[in-house]
Amino acid sequence: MVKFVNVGVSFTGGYQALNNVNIEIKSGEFVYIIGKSGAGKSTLLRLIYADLLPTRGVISVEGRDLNLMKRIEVPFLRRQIGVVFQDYKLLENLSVFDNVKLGLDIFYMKRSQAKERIWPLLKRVGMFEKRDDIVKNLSGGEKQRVAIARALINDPKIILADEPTGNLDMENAENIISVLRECSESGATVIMATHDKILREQYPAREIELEKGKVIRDGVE
Amino acid sequence: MNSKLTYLFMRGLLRFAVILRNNFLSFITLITVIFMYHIFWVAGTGTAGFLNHLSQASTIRVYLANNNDIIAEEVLKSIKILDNVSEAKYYSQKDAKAYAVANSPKTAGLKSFAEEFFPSFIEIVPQNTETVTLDKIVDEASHISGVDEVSYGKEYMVKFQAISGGAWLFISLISILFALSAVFVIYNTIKVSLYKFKDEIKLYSLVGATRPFISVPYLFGALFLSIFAYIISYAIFMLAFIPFNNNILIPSGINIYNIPSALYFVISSLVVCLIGVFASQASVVSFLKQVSSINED
Repeated sequence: MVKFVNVGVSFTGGYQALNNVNIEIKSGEFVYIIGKSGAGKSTLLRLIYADLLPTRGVISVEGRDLNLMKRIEVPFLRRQIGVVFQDYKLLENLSVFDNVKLGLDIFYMKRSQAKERIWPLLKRVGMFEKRDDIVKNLSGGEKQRVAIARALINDPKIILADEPTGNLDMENAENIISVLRECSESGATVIMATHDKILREQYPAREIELEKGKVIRDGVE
Repeated sequence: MNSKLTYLFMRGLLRFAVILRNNFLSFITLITVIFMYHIFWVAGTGTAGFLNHLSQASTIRVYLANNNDIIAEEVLKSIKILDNVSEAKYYSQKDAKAYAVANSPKTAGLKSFAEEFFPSFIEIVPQNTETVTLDKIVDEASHISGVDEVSYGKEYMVKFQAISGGAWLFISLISILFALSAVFVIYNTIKVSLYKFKDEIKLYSLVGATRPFISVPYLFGALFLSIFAYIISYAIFMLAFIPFNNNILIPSGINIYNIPSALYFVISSLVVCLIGVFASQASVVSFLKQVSSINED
């Protein structure tokens, strides 16, 4: 579960990225975070994976108060969270397999053991045939599926997707959404920041709309 | 635990390989710094040891009021019964010249000097070389009739001791300076390598890598860098020093520089390794503070 109570984030110069945000997202929910550029969508996601600390308020993720969390505990929180970005954040010169394996390296897992976890996942996202391809040679849609595989490799309880379909055509965007919805149906909480109205209409879910750092709407369209 | 360490060790080897491939000049610089330190160490300790040897008095000279052998024998008898005198020997003017010639083989023309230029003296070997003992003998011997002057070169000893102390101070300062140079070279080399793997480190951080997972491979990388640089620098030094010392210095009468001891090798190599570990850790900590989050470039 993710809970925000009176959360505010101010950056240097007094710019308020988030202001008095109160939200509660239950386990297994699929939630869209919507709003214009600069509304605070990415900031909200960064707060959840402890990439940023709030200036005010309390955030709790899976029952842990992030304000009270020690720095050495952050990696263990992040192991429960999978993150997908619009620009994929992949290592372009590595293979598909090696990019996904990054998530298992932190457990000192050998390549042979890693295969057992990665191959089924690559099959699930439709990238098994291209497992040895170098990422820079892939299309945008393929890259995003690799990024999703990396995010899912440790069976995260929460999946954060920051504009994951922003660079994709409709067909690829639908593929990505269906993978994320599958994750949600399997019990993971999916929080997706998006601009894409067509997709939201096709796959309706709870929407939290932000404007100038404030929640202006919370509910199903 | 062992498999974790092996994993990080192997990653450290890979980091070291990348450092060699992309930053070979830093490796050469580190070798040069350590090589220069070996030179300064041998030159400094050799010179300080020589000066220290000069500042140790092992004999006391008694110069007589006149060069009369009969009076000298009387003085010798009186000296031999003094406390703390182990041995005493009389050198006539002829013996004094022979002594000077024997101890100065490179001084051409000394033989042609007349014996009259060499004052007769009595040489005392004390039971110990402590200053208090030497001063006591000097005081007692100077009161013996027929004695002109008694000295063990105290004023020179003090000067040599001061110069020797200065040499050790120089060695200490040079050690600190070279240690700092090594720290900066390793620190920057690791920093460059960290920036090369910036995206990978950010991604590892995103998927939940702990601080040791990120820092330990660099620590091993720095350790390999330090060890190999030390071994290579030491090998080059030995290859250069031994022929230079044996073929040039010793034949020229300069026999004060020695091959560094095994203890020097052990301690200095350990210090270089510690410097590597410290510099690497400092570099990683500073990098992680400076580097931006994965979601902001």
